[in-house]
Amino acid sequence: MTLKLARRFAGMVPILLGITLVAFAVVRAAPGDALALQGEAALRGGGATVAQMREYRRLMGLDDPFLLGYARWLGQLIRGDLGHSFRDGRPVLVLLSEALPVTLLLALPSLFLGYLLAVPIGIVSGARPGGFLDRTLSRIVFLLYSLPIQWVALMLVVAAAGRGLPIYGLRSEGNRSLGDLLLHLVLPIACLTYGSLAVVSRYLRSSMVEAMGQDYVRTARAKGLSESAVVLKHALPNSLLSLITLFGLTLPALTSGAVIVERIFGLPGMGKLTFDAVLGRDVPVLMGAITLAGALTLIGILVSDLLYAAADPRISLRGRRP
Amino acid sequence: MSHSFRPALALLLAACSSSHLPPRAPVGADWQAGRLPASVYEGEPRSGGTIVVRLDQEPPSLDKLTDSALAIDWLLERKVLESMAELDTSKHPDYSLKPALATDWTVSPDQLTYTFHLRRGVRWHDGAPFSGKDVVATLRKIRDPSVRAMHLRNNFEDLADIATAPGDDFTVVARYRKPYFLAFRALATLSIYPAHLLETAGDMLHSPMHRAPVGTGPFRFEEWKSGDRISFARNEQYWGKKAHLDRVVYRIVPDPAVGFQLLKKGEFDVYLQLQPQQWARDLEAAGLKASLHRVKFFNPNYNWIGWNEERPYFSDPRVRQAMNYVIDTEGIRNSFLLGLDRPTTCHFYLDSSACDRSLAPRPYDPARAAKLLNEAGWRDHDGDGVRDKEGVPFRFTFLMNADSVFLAKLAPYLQQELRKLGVEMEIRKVDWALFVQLVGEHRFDAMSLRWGNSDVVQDPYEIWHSSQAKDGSNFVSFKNAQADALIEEARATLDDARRNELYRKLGRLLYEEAPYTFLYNRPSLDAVRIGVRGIRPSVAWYDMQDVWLARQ
Repeated sequence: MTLKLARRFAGMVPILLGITLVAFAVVRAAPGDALALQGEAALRGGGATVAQMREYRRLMGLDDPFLLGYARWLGQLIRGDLGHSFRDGRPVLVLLSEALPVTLLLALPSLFLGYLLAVPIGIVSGARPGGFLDRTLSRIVFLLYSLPIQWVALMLVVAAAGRGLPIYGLRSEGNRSLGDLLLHLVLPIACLTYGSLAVVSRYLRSSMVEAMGQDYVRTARAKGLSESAVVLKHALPNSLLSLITLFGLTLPALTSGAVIVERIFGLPGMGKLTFDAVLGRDVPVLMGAITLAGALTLIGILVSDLLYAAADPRISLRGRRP
Repeated sequence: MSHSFRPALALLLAACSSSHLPPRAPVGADWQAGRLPASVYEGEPRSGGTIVVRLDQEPPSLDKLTDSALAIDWLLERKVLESMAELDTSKHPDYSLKPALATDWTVSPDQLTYTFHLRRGVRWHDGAPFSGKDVVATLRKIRDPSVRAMHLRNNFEDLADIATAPGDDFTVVARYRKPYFLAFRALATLSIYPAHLLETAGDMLHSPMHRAPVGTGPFRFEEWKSGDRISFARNEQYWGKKAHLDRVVYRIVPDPAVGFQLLKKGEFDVYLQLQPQQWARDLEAAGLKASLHRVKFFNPNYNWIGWNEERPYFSDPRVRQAMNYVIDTEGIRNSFLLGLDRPTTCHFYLDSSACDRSLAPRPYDPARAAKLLNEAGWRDHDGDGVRDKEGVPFRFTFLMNADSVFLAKLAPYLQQELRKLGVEMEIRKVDWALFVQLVGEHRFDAMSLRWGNSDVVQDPYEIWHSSQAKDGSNFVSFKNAQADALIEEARATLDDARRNELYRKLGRLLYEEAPYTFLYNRPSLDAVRIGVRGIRPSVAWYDMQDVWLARQ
């Protein structure tokens, strides 16, 4: 088992290298100038603007041939160094280690809360498709799903501003208590959660509907089991497999951050870091963020495979021999 | 009338009408005009307190040597970093220089040698003593080709050498190769860095000073929490008059709607960069008139549309003039800009005497535009509804930065006006990084941008001299021998009045040639909480040294 796992990990390395190579090519090929982060002053050279841009590109190593640039980046990566941001000269590792905790602080509670609310909705909807509860809940989750997040966030800010709920940042000035931190998280987490309700609950609902039509459910009913026992003990466990797939797919999205929510609520996480890096053509930061996201995607897939194996005895990590 | 004299005048008038009442400007007039009332400058300053300022964008670094973003100047100049001389912010609109790290200076009769006598007893924020060696080391760093200081290096191309006088570390002598009116000002207002830290700073990018500047100013850097806040604390060892405030905290809030909600909650003492709509209407609607002063202040800047003269359509000045006649400057000002911006036709700071204020923007006159286009040979020869000349249809692309709210309104309007005239304009929106690249490579037909300056004195050379069409900021390739001659003569003219006369001549020439359509001088729209005293807007942003907080 451990050996198999080690093999799976080893197999991820070439895939990750492929991801970074493609990413490096795209990032380097993108038009635009890294001098952009100077604002309007970028075009004011005091007499030598274009010459200044050329010199800037040379100092930043942007004139190197593509493969040399990639090799240099890879060499750094192997030594555990992701390079320095063009923007502020700080190590990319430091920037990532500042942004990732903020993003996780939002994403993990939101993921947990999303499943906590969506699973019961999915069960209730799927147990009696087309029924009153199903129709009502479907309407509600779809209504939520269709609300643009920017609008919801601003409405929440306006609504909360007059009511003493903090609307910006992670902490109040000089307040280090846990309660203060949690209050600051209420609005952004609400924003990140409401949209996911529809996705998770609909997924579960459809697999519930499928399970409820199976022979074993008819058998369970024929045995005279109560409806709740039929739903919870027989149909639900078989439907949960689809949620594992979904979970594996959402894991990387969690760490990529949420640009709009981070901006509106002033939480500098991965979304802001990546977005600013794109706008400023900050190659080292972008590459760092993409590598992190790529690694997490691969890990997400592995974790969901492991969960499958744990949840379903028919599936094992070993796979079938040809 | 100049801005900073208004409170004084209001005070004077009030004093004349009733001698025993405290002088006050009429309620509402200051609010309407966006100026701080005289009461802001009354009272005995009180020491202590923290002022919280809203900042709309995070600067790339706090390092003037490697980054030229204006926000860095605003945060640091005269607050953290100091120069040998500084702009006297009470002298609007000329902003003459007053002593700072230098106590006095002399200029040789041939205008080539400057001698600065430096202040003794000044200490850096880390306690090390300041001397002329710091000035020399700063210049050396700027001229080091491995440092990303191109934007500063250009100012010192004609500097032959700079050194401390033999045996006297407090006298700095700079020698120039040729006389240049900006040479003295550029050197005198250069922010000085500590020599003992520059030694190990390398290319600056990886030095602690890149984000944590060490200066001699009344405030010292305290902390920068990325994406959240940058704070400064009073320098207790300051050589001059110490600041009243304990701390200045800049909170970074990019989203204007969220910023406004925080302002309503009372979380800011100074709010920078309100949206025009917020400044003009929302503040009052939100009931903030009782707790805030509005501030409207015009910095040296202007928006413009540039017509690329390398393109067949825009090589003829008559066509460029025609472009001016289809833009309803006054209508746009009132509808898109809520009447807040000032129309301008001048390259220089509008309040300065370098501008000829009699040159009014060309009025909206489509008939005149059509006549000019006909004269220039742009007629619809093939009857397809689009004007053409020598087989080239008048179809061009307007390049714009996708972030601009103003241009998002202006461009479709211009497109519509031009279509009526038989000219097809396509709009191309690109992000800022691509915009910078395309403009730098002259790959555009027409585009719009804003020039801003942190000083009222500037040299038009980089933008209007024909030599700058190749590698400089003359992106529209304006080439005019008469303009070149005026610009060159002005560079060697050290007398302000005489130079400004040359600039007014240049202004009239630019008006006729119309390489740009000059649009507006944009104000800073800010708000200051009542209770913040001694604060004064200037082209050098807000000084924090005299600011104090009245007891609530």
